[in-house]
Amino acid sequence: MKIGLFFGSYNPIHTGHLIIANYMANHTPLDKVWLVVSPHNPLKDKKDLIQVYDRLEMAKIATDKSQNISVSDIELKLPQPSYTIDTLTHLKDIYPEHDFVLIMGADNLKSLKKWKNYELILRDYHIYVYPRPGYIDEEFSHHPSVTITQTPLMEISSTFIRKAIKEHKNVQYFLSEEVLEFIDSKSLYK
Amino acid sequence: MKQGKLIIFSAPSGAGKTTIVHHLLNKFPDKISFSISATTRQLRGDEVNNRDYYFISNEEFLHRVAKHEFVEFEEVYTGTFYGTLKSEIQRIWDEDKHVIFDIDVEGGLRLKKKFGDDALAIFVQPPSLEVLVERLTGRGTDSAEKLAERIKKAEKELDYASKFDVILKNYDLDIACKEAEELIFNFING
Repeated sequence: MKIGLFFGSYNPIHTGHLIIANYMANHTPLDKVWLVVSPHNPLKDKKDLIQVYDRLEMAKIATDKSQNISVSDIELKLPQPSYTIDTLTHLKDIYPEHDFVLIMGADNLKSLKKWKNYELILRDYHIYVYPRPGYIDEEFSHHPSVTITQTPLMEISSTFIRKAIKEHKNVQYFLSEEVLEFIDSKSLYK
Repeated sequence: MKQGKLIIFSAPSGAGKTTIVHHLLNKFPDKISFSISATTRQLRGDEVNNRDYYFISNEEFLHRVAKHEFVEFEEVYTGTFYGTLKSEIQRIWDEDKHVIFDIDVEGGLRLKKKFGDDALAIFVQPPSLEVLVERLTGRGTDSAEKLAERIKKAEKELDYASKFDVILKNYDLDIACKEAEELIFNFING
C-alpha cells in the first residue's frame, strides 16, 4: 500500500490538518494517511507543547470516524530527538510491504536543506507537498521526487487556536467538535 | 438454525489483541458479538464472570467435554482448561450477528480448521519478543512462575503466524485498529 506520512506536533489537531489529510488520502494516489505525532519538532521551541499523550489522543479522536486516516505514535518509541529520516528508516524496517510517501507543507519544503540527511530523503522517498500561504519554492519544486499537489490552501494554525483559547475566544469549527470537547474537559491551553 | 461468520483473533498473550477486539466491538456493535470462552482458571484483575469468561470448575468443564458441548477446547497450562461452547456460537448467530473470538493461537487454528471459509483467522503480531515480555511483565497480575510459562508459550506461538489467513502487525495500536476495521468490514460484507 502507498501510505502518506503526515508528520506534525498536532498541538492541537485542527480542521486544516484534517482537510489536508483527507485530500491526500482520497484525492491523490495514496491509499492511506498516517498522522505521525512528534514528541517535539527539533526545529521548534517546545515550551508551548502540551503533553504528547494529549496530542495523540486528540488526533485519534479527530480521525476516529475516518476509514483511511490513522494516527501513529511511532516517534514516541524512538530515541529522541527523532529525525524524519530515522523514523522513515524504522518504518521501512517494520513495514517492508508498504511504500511510504512524505507529506509536507511548502514551508517545510523550503527548509528541507536543514533536515538531517535530506539528500537521502529525496533519493529514497517521494514527497507530496501541500501549499502554504506565501511559500513558493523554486529549489525543490521540480525535483523528480517532489509532487506539488492541488490540496486546498489552509490558513488555520495551531498557534492561532492556542492563542484564541487562552483569550477565551470561540474556536468552534476550527477544530472538530470532539477535540474541542476534549480540550474543554481537560482545560488545555488555558 | 441461523448461521453467521466467525472472526478469530489470535496472538501470543500480550500482543494487544484484546484491545483491538474491544475496539471492533465498539465499532460494529450491531454486527459482531464477543464469544465468551469457558475456562477453569482463576479470575484476573477486573475480570467479570459471564462477561470475560465463563469461569467454571474443572469438574464441570470435563463433564461438558464428555457431553460434546465444546467446539474446541484445550488444556493450555497444566490443570487449566479453555474452550468454546457450541451454544455460545449459536447464541450469537441467533442474534443475527457474527462471532468474534479473542483466543489463543492453537484454539484459533482449531476453529479455523473447523469452519473453513466461514471463518477469518487473524494473527496479531507484536513488534518483537522483547516488547512482548515488557508488556507481560508490566501487567503485574501473574507470579514469576506463570510469567515464565507465558513467555515460553508466546515464543512458540510466534511461529504459528503463517498458518493464519491474515497477519495483522500491531506496532502502532491506532493503525492496527483501523486495519482490523477494514478487514472485518470486508469479510462480513463479502
